[in-house]
Amino acid sequence: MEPIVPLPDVLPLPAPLWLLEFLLVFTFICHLVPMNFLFGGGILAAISHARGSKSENHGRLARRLFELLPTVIAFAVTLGIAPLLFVQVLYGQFVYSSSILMANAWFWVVPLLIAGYYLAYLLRFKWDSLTGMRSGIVWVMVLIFTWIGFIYSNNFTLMLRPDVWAAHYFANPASGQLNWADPALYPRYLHMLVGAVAVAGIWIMIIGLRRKSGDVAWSNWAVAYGARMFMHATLLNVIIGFWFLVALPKRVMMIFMGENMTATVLLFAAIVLTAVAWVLIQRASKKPDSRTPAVAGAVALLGVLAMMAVMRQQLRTAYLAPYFTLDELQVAPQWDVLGLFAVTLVICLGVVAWLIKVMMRAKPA
Amino acid sequence: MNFPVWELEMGTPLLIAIVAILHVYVSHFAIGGGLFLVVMEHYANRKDDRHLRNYLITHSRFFALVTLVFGAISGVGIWFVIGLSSPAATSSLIHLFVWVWAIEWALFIVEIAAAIVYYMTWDRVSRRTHLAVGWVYFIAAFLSLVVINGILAFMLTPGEWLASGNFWDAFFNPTYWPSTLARTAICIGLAGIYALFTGVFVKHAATRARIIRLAGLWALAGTILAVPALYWYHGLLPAGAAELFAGGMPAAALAARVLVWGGIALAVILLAPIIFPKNFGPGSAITFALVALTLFGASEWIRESVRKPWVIVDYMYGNGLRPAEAEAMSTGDGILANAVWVQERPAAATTATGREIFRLACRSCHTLDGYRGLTDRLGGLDEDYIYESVARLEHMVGAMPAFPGSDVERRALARYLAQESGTTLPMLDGAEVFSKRCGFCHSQSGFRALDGSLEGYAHDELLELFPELAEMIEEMPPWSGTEDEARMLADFIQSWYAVAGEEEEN
Repeated sequence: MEPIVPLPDVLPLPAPLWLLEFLLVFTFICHLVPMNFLFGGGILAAISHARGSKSENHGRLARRLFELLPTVIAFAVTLGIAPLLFVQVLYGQFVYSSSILMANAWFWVVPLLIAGYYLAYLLRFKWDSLTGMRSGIVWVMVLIFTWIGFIYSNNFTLMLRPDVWAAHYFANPASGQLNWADPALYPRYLHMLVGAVAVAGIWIMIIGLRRKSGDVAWSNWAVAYGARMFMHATLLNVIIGFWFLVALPKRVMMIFMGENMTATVLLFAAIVLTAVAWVLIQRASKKPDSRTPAVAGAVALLGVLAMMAVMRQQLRTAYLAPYFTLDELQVAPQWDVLGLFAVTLVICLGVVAWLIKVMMRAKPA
Repeated sequence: MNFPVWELEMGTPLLIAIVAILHVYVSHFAIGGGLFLVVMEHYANRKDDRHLRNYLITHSRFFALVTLVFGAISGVGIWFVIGLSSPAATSSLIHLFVWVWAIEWALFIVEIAAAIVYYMTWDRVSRRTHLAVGWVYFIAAFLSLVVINGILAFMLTPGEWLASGNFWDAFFNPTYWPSTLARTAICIGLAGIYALFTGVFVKHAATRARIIRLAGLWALAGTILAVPALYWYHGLLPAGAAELFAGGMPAAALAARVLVWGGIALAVILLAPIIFPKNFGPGSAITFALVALTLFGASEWIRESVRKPWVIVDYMYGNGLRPAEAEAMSTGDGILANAVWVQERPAAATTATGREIFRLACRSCHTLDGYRGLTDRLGGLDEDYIYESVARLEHMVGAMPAFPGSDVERRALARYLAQESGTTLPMLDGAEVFSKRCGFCHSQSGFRALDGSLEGYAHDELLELFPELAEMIEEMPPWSGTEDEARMLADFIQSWYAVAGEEEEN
C-alpha cells in the first residue's frame, strides 16, 4: 500500500520554527530526568525491596526511593506535558495519526497512570501496614510504568512510519494495534529503559551523598551501589545502542555515519562523553568521601542526555524527510502572547524555587 | 478527513463525556477547595482553633490525593481523548492557542509544587509561610482556570476571530466572561460540597457541626452565584441554541431541565446542613456530592450539545471538516476522492464504500450499536428512504450538518446502513413507524409538532396524504413505507385525537 501522508494544519505556527524546535527538545530533556528517575528508579527500588529481607542496606534504599517516588511522578508528568504539546504543534498530523493507530493502548495510558500514581502514594503512606501485600503492589506499580514507557516508544516510532500506516490501520480500525512489526522499536525502548536505570543509579548516588550526616556507612554503600548500577547499565546500553543503530532503516542510519556531519559528530561526542562520565563515576564509587567526581560525572551524564535528545530530533527529521519537512509550515508569530508566556514562566519558576526552598527548610516531619 | 478514525464501538463522544465530566468535577474542586483551605486556615489560626486545624490537615491530604493524581492526570486524559477522537479540532486549538497551553503549563507546575508543599508542611514551617503557600496554590489554580476557559469558550463562540483571525478576539470571545464567572461560582460551590463530605468524619462534635455549617454556606453561595452567571451565559449562546433547548436536541432539552430544577432543589436542600448541621451524616454528604455531579454533568452536557454540529462553531464540524471543504466535496468529487485515510477508491454504490463513508463522515458522532447508534433508529427502514433522508440531514432533529458526499457515496452509505440495520425487520406498531418515518424531523406535540396540522383527517385521507407530502413540501423525503406501515401510522395519528376527544366528552 502507498504511504499515507496527512496534511499539516492550515493554521500557521504561532512562533518561529527554531524556537518551537528548541522548546520541543529542551522541555524533553527536562522531562527525561524525572522520567528516568521514575522509570529506572522504580525498577531499582523494586529490586532493592525484593533484596531488602536479606540486606538492610537494600531495605533502607527501597524505603527511601518509595518515599520520593510520588513527587518524582508529579515532576515527570508535569514536565512531560510541554514536549507533548510542542510535538503536536510541529508534527501534529503524524502524532495524532499514530495515536489513533494504537488508540486503545494510547487511551489506557491515562487510567493506568492514575492507578500507578495512586499505588505509589499507597506505598508512601501505608508502607508499614501493607506488610505482605507490599511486594505485589511494588511490582504492579513498576510494571504499569514500564508498560506506559513501552506505549510511548510505540507511538513515537509509529508516528515516523507513514509507509506502514495503511496496512496497520485498516487491519484494525476499532482498537488499533501496537507497532510490533517495527524492528527499531525494541532496541529503542530498551535503550531508553536501560538508560533510565543508569540515570537512576546516579540518582541513588546523589541520595547517598546528601545523607552523609545521618548514617555514613549506609550513605557510602548507596554511593557505591548507585555507581555500580550506572556502570553496569551503561556498558549494557552501549551494546543496545549499536543494536538500535543497525536496526534503523539504512537511509536513517546513514545520517549518523557521515551523511549528516552534525549528527555524526554528535553521536561520536556522546559516546566519548559517556566514557568520560563512566570513568568519573567509577572514581566516585572508589572514593565515597569526595563529591567532586560524582558531581562531575552527573553533569557529564546530563550532557549525554541532552545530546541524545538532540539526536532523537535529528532521527525524527530523517525518518520523516521523504514525507514532510518542518520548513513547509506557515509561520505567523504571536509575539505578544509569546511574551506573556515568557514572563509567566519566569515568575512561575521563581515561585517554584521559593516553594522548594520552603520545603528544604521545613522542620523534619 | 485528514486523520484516521477510531472506530470505538461505545462512541468516542461518550468516552469524552465520561472523562471530561469526571475531570471538571475534580478540577473545579481543585480550585475552589484551595480557596476553602486557605480561608479556613486563616480562620482557624485567628481563633486558635486546634480542632479545625486538625480537620484542615486531614482535608488537605484528601485534597492533595484527589487533585494531584486524579485531577491532574484526568486533565491530561481529556487531551489524550480529544486527540484520539477529534484530531483535526485538537490540532486547530493547539495551533491557535499554543502559548495559552504553555502558560497553563507554567501555572500547572506551580499548582502541583504548591499542593505538595502545602499538604506536607503543616506545623513544619511558620504559620505565615504555610498560609502563603496555600495562597500561591489557589492563585495559580484560579489563573489556570482563567486561562484554559478562553479555549473552552472559544469552541462554542469563536466570535470575531472567524473574520479577523486575531488571537485576542479568539481568547476574549463572547462567552468568555460569563463562563469564567459561572465556573468560579461552581468552584466555590464544589469546595463546599467536598468539605461536607470530609467534614462528616470529624470526631469532635462541635467542630464537625461548625465545619458542616460553613461548608453548606460555601455550597449555597456557589449555587446562588452560578444563577446570574449562567443566565448571562445563556443569553450569549449561538443563534441555534434556543431551538435546541426547545426540543431540536432532546438530550440537551432534558439536561437543561435537570440543571434548572436540580439547581433550585440543591439550593433548597443545602439549607439542611446550614440549619441542622448536627443531623448531617455521611449518607447525606454522598447524596449532595452525587446531586452536584449530576448538575455539573448536565451543564457540561448542555455546553457540548448546543455546539452541535460543530466542534468549533462556524469553523469546523464534528467530523473535522471545515464548511468550505464540505461544500467543495458535496458539489465536487465527493468524500473519498479528498480523504486521506481511504481503502476503497474510487467510490462505488457498494457497502464497502458505504462503510468508509460512515467512518469518515459519521463516526465522530455516531456508532452502529453504541452511543447515538444508528441501527436501532434505522432498523426496518428501506434503503431508498435512508438514501433520501441522508440528503436532508440538515433538517433533522439533533443538529446535523448537510451530507458532504457525492450521490454515489450517499447511495453507498444508505446501502451500508440498511444492511447493518436490517431492512426486513417488520415494524411493530404505529408509534415505531412514526418515530422512524416522521420522527427524524417531527414530534407529535413538541418540536415541529404535527398534532396541529393533522387533526380532522380521516383514516383514508391520511393514507392518501402520505405519498403526496413530498410533492407538497420540498424538504420531505418521498414516502416509501409499506401498506402495513401506512395503516399503522394512520391508526397511530388518529389515536392522538381519539384520546383528546374522549377527554372532551367526559
